[in-house]
Amino acid sequence: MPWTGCAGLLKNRAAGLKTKEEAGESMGKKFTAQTIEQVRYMSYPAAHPDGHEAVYVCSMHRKSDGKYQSWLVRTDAVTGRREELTDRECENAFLPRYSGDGKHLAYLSDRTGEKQLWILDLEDGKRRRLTSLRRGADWYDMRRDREEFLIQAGCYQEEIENGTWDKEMSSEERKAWEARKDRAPVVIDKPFCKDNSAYGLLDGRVDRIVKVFPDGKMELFGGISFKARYPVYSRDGQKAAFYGFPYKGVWEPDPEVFICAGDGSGLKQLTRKGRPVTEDPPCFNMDGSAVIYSSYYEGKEGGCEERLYQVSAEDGQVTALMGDVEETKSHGINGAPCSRTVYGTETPCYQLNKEGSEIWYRASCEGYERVFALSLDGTQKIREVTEFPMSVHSFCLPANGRMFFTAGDYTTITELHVMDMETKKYTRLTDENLWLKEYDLSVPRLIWVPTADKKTRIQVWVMAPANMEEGKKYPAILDVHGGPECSYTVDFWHEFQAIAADGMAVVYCNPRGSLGYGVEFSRDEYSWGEGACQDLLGAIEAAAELGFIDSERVGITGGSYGGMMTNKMIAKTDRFAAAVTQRCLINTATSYGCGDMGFESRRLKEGESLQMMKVLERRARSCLMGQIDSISTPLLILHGYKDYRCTFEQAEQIFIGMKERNPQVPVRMVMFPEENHDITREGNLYNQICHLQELINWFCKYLKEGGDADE
Amino acid sequence: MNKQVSALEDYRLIEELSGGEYLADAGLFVWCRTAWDEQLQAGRSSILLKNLASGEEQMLTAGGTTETSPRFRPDGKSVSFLSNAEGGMQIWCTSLETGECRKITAVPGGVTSPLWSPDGRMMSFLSSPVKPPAPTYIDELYPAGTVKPVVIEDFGYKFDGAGFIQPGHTQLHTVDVETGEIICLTQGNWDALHPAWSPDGQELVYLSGQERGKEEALALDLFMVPARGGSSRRISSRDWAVSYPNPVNPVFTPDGKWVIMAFMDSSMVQDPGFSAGYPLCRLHRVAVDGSEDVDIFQTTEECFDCVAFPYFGGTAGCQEKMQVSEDGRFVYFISGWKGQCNIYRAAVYGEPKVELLSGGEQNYRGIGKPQNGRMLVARSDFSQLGNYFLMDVETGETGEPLTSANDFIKDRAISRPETMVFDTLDGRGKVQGWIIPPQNRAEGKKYPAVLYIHGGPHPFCPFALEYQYQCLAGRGFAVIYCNFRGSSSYGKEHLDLKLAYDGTAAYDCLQAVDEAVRRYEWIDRERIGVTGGSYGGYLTTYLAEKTERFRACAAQRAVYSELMQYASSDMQGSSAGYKNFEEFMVNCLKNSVVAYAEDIHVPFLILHGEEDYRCPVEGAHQMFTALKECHPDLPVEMILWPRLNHDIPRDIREKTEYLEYLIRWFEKYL
Repeated sequence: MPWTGCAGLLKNRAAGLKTKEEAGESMGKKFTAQTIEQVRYMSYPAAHPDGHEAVYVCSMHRKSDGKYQSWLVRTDAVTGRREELTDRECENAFLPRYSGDGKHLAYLSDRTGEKQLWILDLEDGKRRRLTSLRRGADWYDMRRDREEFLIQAGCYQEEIENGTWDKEMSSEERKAWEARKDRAPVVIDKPFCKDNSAYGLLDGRVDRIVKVFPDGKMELFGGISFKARYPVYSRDGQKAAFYGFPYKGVWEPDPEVFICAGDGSGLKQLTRKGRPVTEDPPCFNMDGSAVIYSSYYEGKEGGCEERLYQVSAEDGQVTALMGDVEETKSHGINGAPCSRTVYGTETPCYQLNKEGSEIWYRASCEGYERVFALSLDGTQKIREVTEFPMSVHSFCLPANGRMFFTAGDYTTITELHVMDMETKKYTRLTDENLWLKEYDLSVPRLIWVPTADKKTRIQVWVMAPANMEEGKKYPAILDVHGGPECSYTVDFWHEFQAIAADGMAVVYCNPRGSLGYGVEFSRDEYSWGEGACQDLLGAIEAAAELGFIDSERVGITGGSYGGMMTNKMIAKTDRFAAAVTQRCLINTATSYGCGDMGFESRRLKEGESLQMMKVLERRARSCLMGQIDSISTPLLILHGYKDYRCTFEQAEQIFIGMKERNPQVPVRMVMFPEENHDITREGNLYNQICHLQELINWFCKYLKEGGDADE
Repeated sequence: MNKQVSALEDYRLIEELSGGEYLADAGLFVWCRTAWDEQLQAGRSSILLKNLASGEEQMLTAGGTTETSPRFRPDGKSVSFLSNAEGGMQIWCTSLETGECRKITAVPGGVTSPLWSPDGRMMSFLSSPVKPPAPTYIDELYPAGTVKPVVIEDFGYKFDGAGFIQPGHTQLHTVDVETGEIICLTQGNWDALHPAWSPDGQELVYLSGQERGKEEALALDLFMVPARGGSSRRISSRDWAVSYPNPVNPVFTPDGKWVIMAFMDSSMVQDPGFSAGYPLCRLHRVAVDGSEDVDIFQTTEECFDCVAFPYFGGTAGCQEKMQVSEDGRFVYFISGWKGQCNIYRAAVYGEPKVELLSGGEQNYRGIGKPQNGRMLVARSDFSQLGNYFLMDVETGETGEPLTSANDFIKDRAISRPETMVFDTLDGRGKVQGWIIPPQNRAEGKKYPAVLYIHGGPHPFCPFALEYQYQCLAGRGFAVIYCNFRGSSSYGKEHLDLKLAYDGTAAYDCLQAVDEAVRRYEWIDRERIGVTGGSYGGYLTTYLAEKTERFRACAAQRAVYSELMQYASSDMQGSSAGYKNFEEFMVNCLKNSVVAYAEDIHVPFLILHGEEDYRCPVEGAHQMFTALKECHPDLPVEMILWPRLNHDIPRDIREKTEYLEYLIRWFEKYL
């Protein structure tokens, strides 16, 4: 793709930036923070073996309490007929999967309190519950040839020992347990004792694998004494693989790939320091002789990307399935897109195709999430399966020549599609977010901006403010994604639509440090050094050259790493007129030991021992808190109280530091009592709305003329 | 025959007495009793009334489970009290003639500190008006039942024990007992504290900081306000009147011309943050017309301070800690002196003269109004947990107790603390401490010991029984505790806060242990543990790092990181006086015990509440992680209580569970 230098951008300015009035269209509704309550998310499509229909999970917030509901929808690929299979008022349903003969649908449902495994007979519509796990099921795999399952379920050791692990709790028992949990002390004796996804302290509930037999009997699988996740069967059902966490102490969070026989015998650890990524399940190759998983490949000079590997079931030998290929369209798999709000699980990122000849996987390529196929013949060849201008969120392997997938783009949140593998033509099957058509949306415009050293270029998107007037200049918000091993994709970003609708431009990009642009591009020295800062400033400058952004009225925001970068940028320069720092990191000397990451002893070399004063002093002197005095930008701090990734005390550090050291600078902090680090993606509806509204109000106040949000 | 040892189950039997009041003319005595109620499965506070002549006792109640602060109406015909029977803590009044109980107030948010006017027609009280803030879009956005975010724009956004709230300010009110009409006497962004009625009932005096700047957060002055409403006028302005942490009530002379109050010694107040420590306090006589402010205090060898700050030992307390004699010539007050809490009297007029009225190895906790030559006092000591007595105002003698609380201890093998005093190594003073031998100690046997370091560090361990220590003694431990440098009641030099943090206090504690071991050969010197809460938890950790003396340690609600304390404690930190913030941070870390975690080589237990807003729980997380990383094989445990603040649990079941964990740790590792 040819680069456009900065001068060239001016020429591009005119195209595509007409206002709706100029284009002769009527004014639509204004997209606001509140609008997100209408959003429906589709995830985890499952294809019928015949390919004529699919089932997907639809999720939406519930207005009464802001929690989300999930239900199953079955849709016919030919007729478009749509049927809801579960009643969202009675249950939340997840993870649908067709049986091998297409006659039954397995899924998880919390109808009886906890998520249990259910089977729906697609012919007579009758459904039966297979499990009665006391603490519910979180994930499962099923054998193709019979009704046998491996389930990932959280269990308490005490309940395993007293035999109640497979007996559901009555509502009185649940009430008593919750009351006790609210006040009972937690005794902790191991360093890995808290987890952001657990909203705090780990209380002894450990992921275990449970086997469900065709006769409905359940048993704990494999005699596994440690945490285990994502059990999968081999094609012939004779073997099973999973991620186990066999280590203790500060190494407890580290998983390895394990294998055993289908009956749970012969447990064997396959990888040693294999560091598999446990976001997605592993899979077997065709004959079960190897287990395929993903891990971070690290370049010699730093930088990384997520690549596929296979480990031999026989001798634990690891082979890289992906190599350093020069001309490649995908850089590793996944690319950890910044995550749209999903409220569900996506289908596995990588899957072995039916023939066993390729691994199909999702990866982002220059902003688009695509499906690629990696050849397993040793050539490491990769080809694109999808090439259309949409981002694929979830895909099913082709069934009878039809590939079902969910995808979105700039103005589509996500919808279910089906692609004919022969003709490559694809059709949209759902209209779950038809209401979006009534709204004025800003279409992001892509520009490529060369880095300061001219060695590479940054992908930048600019969204014009709604109802833009010719010749007028507008405030702009620079948004920095988290990670930094993450990336923005071609997708619908509701936060940005709401900001644009309130008359402010939005600039977002994938600076160096982001994933999806190669190993060199993702190097730590860029994300934690000057490179990312330069790229962000370069992005704003380039966006300003389009002609409608007032350089004096630019705000900056970001979450997590993006929050840290927001803090870093406003300490470094006062060119930003306002800032919103979300779930940020600022003081690594106080964050040590508080969240679920950051063990120091893991970095020790042979013979070294920890000296806390050295560790803490190093952190104090290198972190941003030491630069607090140079922050003069009006600052809004947003943070969840139960954030165990970047703990709330970080928000207090920057808040108190600003109030004490820079009392003349406007500062506001909003704390969300029940939210963790995923507040903007999995949080309560009202917290998501408020989080966004606070951000908009702050920027309107300090960036817009008149200083008030349009309400 | 050995008596039964103390056990944690005894907490279900312990009675705490408070708010006692004596009415000489009627021969009546009323007080509040708090104890565990098995049926209710919760603590219960009740009002008891005793006829001292007949000995007859009856309960007065409005039907609530928490009933406190009883007060005789001046004519003796009614008793008012606070009760949670209906609509929060409100004033109720029982007629002693008819038995009828009537509700006097119905104030949203409840009331505290009820006081009768001298003519019995009105009562004054404090309440925090619950003024809902102006609704914002947030109130409209969130449906009922959902948890709203907390908006924070200034310091003081969280309070240990209360949460992330914007507390209203306590305002002074009066209520006409007949009509129920309430007059609000004060208003503003400040608290009205410690009110008292003038003898003619026309005005009230109270404390507030309404005319002080924000930087003088603890500076309080005396104000007078008309009882029926009107503007307040300030009558003191020079020195800072005393409230937190040693609240004392102001008192009027009988002629109504003067108010006697305790004020901080201004020569010791260096900065509003009290970085040098809490100052000593002096009595002043202040003219009600604001024309004069006279220091009437006399520091002597026997009296350093006009307040007392005991760390424990209070299962009985009066409403007040200061009274004026019937003839107006003396003011009675309680002063902490070398571990004792004694009653003194100071001359109100003429040459300052302070005399000891009742001294000894005891712990006075309150003084009631002198009537007919006697005044009600609350006292605990080594023989009883706390009871009320009547004291002769001239001789200081007390007779038999009016109450017989906690009699069950007569059936327990209570171990009497043995006092020790030793010269400090640095030669600058002496330290007083105590050893509690194990209950039912057997001859010839050696016993482990636990050094229990008090918090603060300014409070002092008094001559009183702390039941927690008796429980440890009942489980076969000797308990050692002392009033190291930094503690009050030993004079100005001993009180210096710097000494609590520069290692001096640590040396004092080590000396106390050595002294105990030297005196008692039945202490096994190889099996000594250490624990303490808050400052005591900090010093426990410090000692574990700097010495090899202790075999096992338990730190409770401690400060582990000064840097974390700076931003996450409800007590505001300060980075003033540093070249830049980076230097401030490094200095904080140098003074933090978490920075030396690797120096701990003995089993270490961390106890903390997740709602501790004084010493944030994140500090415990950091210390725990540091210990686990430095010494993966060392027995280190952290126990966190989800709903606990900067205290040990109040609920008896949770308290016993907490103390059981503590004692078991020492049983396991000593």
